[in-house]
Amino acid sequence: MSDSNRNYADRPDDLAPDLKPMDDQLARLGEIDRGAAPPRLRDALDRATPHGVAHHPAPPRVRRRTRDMSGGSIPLLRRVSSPAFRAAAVIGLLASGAALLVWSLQPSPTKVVEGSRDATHLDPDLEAEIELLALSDDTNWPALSGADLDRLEYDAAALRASRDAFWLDFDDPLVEDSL
Amino acid sequence: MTEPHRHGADPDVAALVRAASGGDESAWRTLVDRYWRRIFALARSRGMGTELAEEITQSVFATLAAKLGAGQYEEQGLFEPWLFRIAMNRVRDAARTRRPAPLQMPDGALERRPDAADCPNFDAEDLLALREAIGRLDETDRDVIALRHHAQLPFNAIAESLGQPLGTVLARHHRALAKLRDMMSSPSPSAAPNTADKAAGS
Repeated sequence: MSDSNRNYADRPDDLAPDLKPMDDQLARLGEIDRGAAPPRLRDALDRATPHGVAHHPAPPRVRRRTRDMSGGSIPLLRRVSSPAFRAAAVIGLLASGAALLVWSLQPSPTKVVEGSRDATHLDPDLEAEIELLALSDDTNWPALSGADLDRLEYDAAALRASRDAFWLDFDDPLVEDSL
Repeated sequence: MTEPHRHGADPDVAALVRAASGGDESAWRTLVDRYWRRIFALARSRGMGTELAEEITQSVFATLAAKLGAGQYEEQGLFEPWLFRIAMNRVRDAARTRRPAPLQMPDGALERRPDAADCPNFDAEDLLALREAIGRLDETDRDVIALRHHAQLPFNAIAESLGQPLGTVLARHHRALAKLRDMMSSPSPSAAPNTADKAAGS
């Protein structure tokens, strides 16, 4: 049947003249939407006869949706939803969190290296430089950067401590004898 | 529920339904030919995209085929109201659960117009604005408009399908036309002629 063969031609006789344009526009919109129906849909509907549906009562899409909703064909989801599985998952998460916390509290390798540093590990070249600086005037220092000065200050303090520890007391009789 | 208004029933439809129920595939194809576009357009009237409108149409015809095949429909001259009641229920269900598609016009829609003399000053922008205006109607008024102009039902079949008196349906239709006329003459800010905004709305 052609779309132009409207079976709703019972337009009210008392339709106000100022409403007729809107009635026409709506009819036009309806015509456009009917015309937008894709032919493939018509082909599919032709094949879905009452006889065919009677022999295949549930289209595949409907059966699949029903099966999914029941969960009957998805054993993994059933296992996930069980209380035992959820309890095991919670315990596992807690154990992992505790292990991560303990690991994060361990001293880092960088800290261990810095803590063991003392004057006995001074670079010989640096030590010579410190000696040289100790003999020189302060006006010779400006060529060094701020970082160099910080490092030298640290190492000089360590060197002084080391010398203090091994400083020979020439007033000691035992030292005098050894010399 | 109103008394049945059977004076608009089509005797050809009754014969087709009987034949299709008895396994006549030619009768079934004639029924499909008569109603498939109208049911599709009914879904489109509520902002459904093409794919969803197709899905709804298939669902309605699957139900029709199942009921006819199982002998669950008794012909009483009310086939169209019954069929479109099924269709309207499917459309409402989909409208509640699905996000409507952007408002748009099918490609080449305006070129297919055979009766251009009916509304000469009507372009694509007007049609989009009209869709937007229909979306702002009350649901009952919108149903009357959709069943009337997209599904092409006579008023007595609309009354039967919606379970309302014929006078109520006529009054609702008249009121809906007046509302749409007013909305189109003074569109709301959301109905400004901006296609992008309209596409993102409703």
